[in-house]
Amino acid sequence: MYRLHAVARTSITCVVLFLANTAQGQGLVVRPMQNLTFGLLLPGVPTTVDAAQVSQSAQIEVRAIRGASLEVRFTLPTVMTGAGTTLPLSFSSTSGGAAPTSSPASMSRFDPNYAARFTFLTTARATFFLGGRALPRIGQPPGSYTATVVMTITNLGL
Amino acid sequence: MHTRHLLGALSLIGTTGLHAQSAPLAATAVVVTPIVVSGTQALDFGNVLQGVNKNVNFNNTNSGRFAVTGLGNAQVSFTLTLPTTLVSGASTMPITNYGVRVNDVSSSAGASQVAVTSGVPFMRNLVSGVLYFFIGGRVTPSATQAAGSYSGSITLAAAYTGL
Repeated sequence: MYRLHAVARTSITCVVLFLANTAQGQGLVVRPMQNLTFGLLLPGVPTTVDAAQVSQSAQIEVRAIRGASLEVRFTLPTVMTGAGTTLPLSFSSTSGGAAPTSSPASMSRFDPNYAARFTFLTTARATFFLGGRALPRIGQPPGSYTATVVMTITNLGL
Repeated sequence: MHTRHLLGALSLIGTTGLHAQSAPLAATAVVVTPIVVSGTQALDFGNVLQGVNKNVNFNNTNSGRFAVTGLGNAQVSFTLTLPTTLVSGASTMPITNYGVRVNDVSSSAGASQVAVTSGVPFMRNLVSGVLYFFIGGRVTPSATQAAGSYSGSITLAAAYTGL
């Protein structure tokens, strides 16, 4: 059995750096494409970004050898921080999506709160999408809020 | 653990000797100051005579005024609802020829004209986070207009377009 064991690490603090860093190793490429962006929120008004909202959902491109199986696990924050306080954040059972192309049209939904396994049977590329729900409180102070979502990919081999 | 297919049948395999890699992503949001619309002054025609039209221009001290505060540089959709009549009991008095101007400062001097259709949204940018509206109009009392105090409501609604 042939196994793939290595990918590189990538990290970002903003979209530009995010796009500039591509993780690559032994046949597996992880290329973060876009952050999860809620945009402008009003205090007391919850806002959901669906995984299929291509302009706002987080997107990560993964390339692997056909036949490879991957385990995808997200470490999800419960709050974003900013303006000296926190802003609650949640992820539902359909906040995750995976598609064989960069389009969410054919994506398969999954719960990012749990690890999920995927097999690259007929393609060498997939795009993972992540949506979420921001719940600004009534009286939430204005300002920019951020959080870090960690996506961990384990290559299970062929 | 949940398992899913990506592109066909799932193949379950062992996990011995596997390496995991992490890729941080960012989640971002910007909480904005809610828009606050305040009617700061009524459009006041004062005393009018039967059969004599009366104008109040946008720059008159008795013009109607709104003050709007919100997020600086935000695009905002405004909707002005303008009455066609003022009412006093069972009597009405036409009100027409509205003139609407906006300014970034609380002065009508230098205010720019806005083409407004009642109930139809129009866009403006809250460049400095505040915007002031100045509204003039004309009442046309008839020759037999009943004496009384007439009033109507001018409503300004505002919403961020990016939300």
